[in-house]
Amino acid sequence: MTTIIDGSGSATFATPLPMAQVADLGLPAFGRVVRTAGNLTTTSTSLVDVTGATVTITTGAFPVAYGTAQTSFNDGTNQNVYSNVAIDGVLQHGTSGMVGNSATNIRHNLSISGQSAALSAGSHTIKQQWAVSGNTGTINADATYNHTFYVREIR
Amino acid sequence: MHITHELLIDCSTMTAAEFSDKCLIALGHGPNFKLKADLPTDVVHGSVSIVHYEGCCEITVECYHEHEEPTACMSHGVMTGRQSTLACCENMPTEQVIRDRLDAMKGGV
Repeated sequence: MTTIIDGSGSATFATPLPMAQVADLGLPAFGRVVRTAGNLTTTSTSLVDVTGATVTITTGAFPVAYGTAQTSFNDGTNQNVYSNVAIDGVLQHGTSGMVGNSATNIRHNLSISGQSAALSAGSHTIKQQWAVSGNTGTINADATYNHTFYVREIR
Repeated sequence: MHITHELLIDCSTMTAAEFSDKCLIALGHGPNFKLKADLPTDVVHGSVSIVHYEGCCEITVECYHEHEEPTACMSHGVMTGRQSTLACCENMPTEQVIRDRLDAMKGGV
């Protein structure tokens, strides 16, 4: 649900507006993906897309803030799980990304957040990607441990 | 090569990582077709990513076509970047062979 506060300060609670309407009104564009079923695993040592964690939004010439709330682990000893965000294919957190490391099979918080530089006005595809240093990494996505990825234009 | 394959399979008795290992075995994972790094500095020929739904899995097998050196470097005493080498498999299974190997898992995991 979106909260819109008009000039008089009164708030209106509304269902999310279509993106075209959001742009017409000059409101910040946004997108969110919540995964509540279907744990993800990967053995990839190079960054691959997190299934479903893709948001396409049309922005003005403004930056976007993005983030992921997630729990992950690796079944190998002293192996890393990396998380990164690509905006139109450009990685935002270096060639690897933010790193999580814990004891074998122990869930840990690998939530990340960030802000881009100002984007060009137009449509942008923003993806979460991940990789491991070795063995098999898991991102939890179930009723107990949701996975969330979101993007919001800043204007 | 990027192959996504859906399998209806009962994997309720194992963890997601255990099922991933079963897939690797079915795919012929080994020194000549390495799909998982045991050590960060391993040479790998591809990877397996899986979405683990209840009773159904969506498996994506990625095979590398080009050789890519590690990107790792030391920065202030800390290793950053990828240490593994991405290599093209000399005897790459065809897409159909990979699908057949995954389908063979239906008989029992």
